Amino acid sequence: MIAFFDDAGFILGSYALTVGLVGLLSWRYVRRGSQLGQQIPDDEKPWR
Amino acid sequence: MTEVHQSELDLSPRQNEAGRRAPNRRHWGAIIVLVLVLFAGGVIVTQFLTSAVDYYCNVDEVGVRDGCDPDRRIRLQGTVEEGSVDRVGSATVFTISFNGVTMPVRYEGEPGGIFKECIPVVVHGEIVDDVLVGDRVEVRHSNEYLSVNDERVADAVEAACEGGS
Amino acid sequence: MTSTDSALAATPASPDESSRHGTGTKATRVLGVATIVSMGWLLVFGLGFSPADRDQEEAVRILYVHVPTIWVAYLGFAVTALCSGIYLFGKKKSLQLDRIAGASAEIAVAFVAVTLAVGAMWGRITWGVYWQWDARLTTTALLFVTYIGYLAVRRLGGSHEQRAKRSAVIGLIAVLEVPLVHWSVRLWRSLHQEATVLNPDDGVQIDGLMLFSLFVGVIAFTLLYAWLLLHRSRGMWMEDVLDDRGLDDALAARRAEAGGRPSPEPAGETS
Repeated sequence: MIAFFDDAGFILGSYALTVGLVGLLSWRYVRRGSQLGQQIPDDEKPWR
Repeated sequence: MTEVHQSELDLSPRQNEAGRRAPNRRHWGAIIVLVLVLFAGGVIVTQFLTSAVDYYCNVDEVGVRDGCDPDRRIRLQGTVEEGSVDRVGSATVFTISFNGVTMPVRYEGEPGGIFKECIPVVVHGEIVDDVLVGDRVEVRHSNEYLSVNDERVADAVEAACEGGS
Repeated sequence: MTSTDSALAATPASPDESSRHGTGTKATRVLGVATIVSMGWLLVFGLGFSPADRDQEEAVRILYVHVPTIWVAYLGFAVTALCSGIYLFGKKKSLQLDRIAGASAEIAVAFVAVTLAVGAMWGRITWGVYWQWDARLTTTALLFVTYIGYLAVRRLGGSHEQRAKRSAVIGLIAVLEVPLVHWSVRLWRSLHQEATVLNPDDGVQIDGLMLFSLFVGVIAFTLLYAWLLLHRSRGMWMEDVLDDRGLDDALAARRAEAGGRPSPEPAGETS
């Protein structure tokens, strides 16, 4: 069916979009964390 | 906070050479976002009040329920009758029913989504000579999820069509 | 852009060995690995093992990301409200509560965005339309916009305490929209179907393997939420510390101009 390929695009697209957005957010948080982390001595960070 | 003798200090804001902070610009960004948020919120609430409070009328409520008058544009919900779907030229004709009341529908084109027999749909349109002339058909699938391989499927499909709800 | 971006640009990166760690710890690494593994499971079950639906056929697979993302968004907003409440009414006004509230709302907003985008695709396949102003979709859009407002209010400036108090009030009020969104499909007639799992009516049928796939999705996104929350709240702690430090530097400069004592150590009022 032609409709199946249409649908498959949306289904795979929805997973790809989810993984992409979530991946982007994760990458931003970790990158920002390491940038900020360089400004502050490790022994001041409560989680170290 | 360290002890500060405020009287001795010139605390007026100024630009430091490193450009460390630009508080005003930052605040303006937030204020602009807030204005947009308020505007968007207003649009959404307006849309809701004019369009969505109750999304549809059921077939058996035409001319009965407030806001379901047959002489104005309507969104009508019912289940597509088994064996009623037919193509007439470029149009699709079928019958929807709810609570034992039926309504013939004529839709120019082919309905999208997972349109098929025995599935609830919402048809947007106007009633002309006792036929709902639809310009939009939306499929209102249920909140039940059954595998295509499930033996309950045959029963469920039958029940859906018989129940007409 | 976040508030300390300019501060970061102004301060040279420290090559110092004693400040090279970001927001990662052993806990986040364990959580991260668990998240990746469960996301892998979600892909395998959601796109592979789970069966097609009798009505929706393959489109039902979108359920396994659409529902978990909104549930975790609900969870995120609830955490925001809880921390806001403790901050406002508790004895110890810890700014860490405010930062967890802010981080949680930020993550939840991202998850609502995913829910809306993925839901539009699901709607296109099953209903035949991307969007309609029905009760569920409209209230979800309102929820999304409200929390963008909450995040904007956090950036209005002022002291950390002012920010915490202001946003805590909004965090407590805004969470009332969550039950409104969830019950919208029962309060009003909507194009969107009613709840399947969190439904008080008995006997709503869902195939076993579909329910399991949904469960895998909930676990995966909950783990992801926890991982993101740890990283973001730690990041916010550092933003606040650097903000304080910037303020202290400015005060020290003024003091030097006024012929005062030399600059003291940063006050470190961030608790």
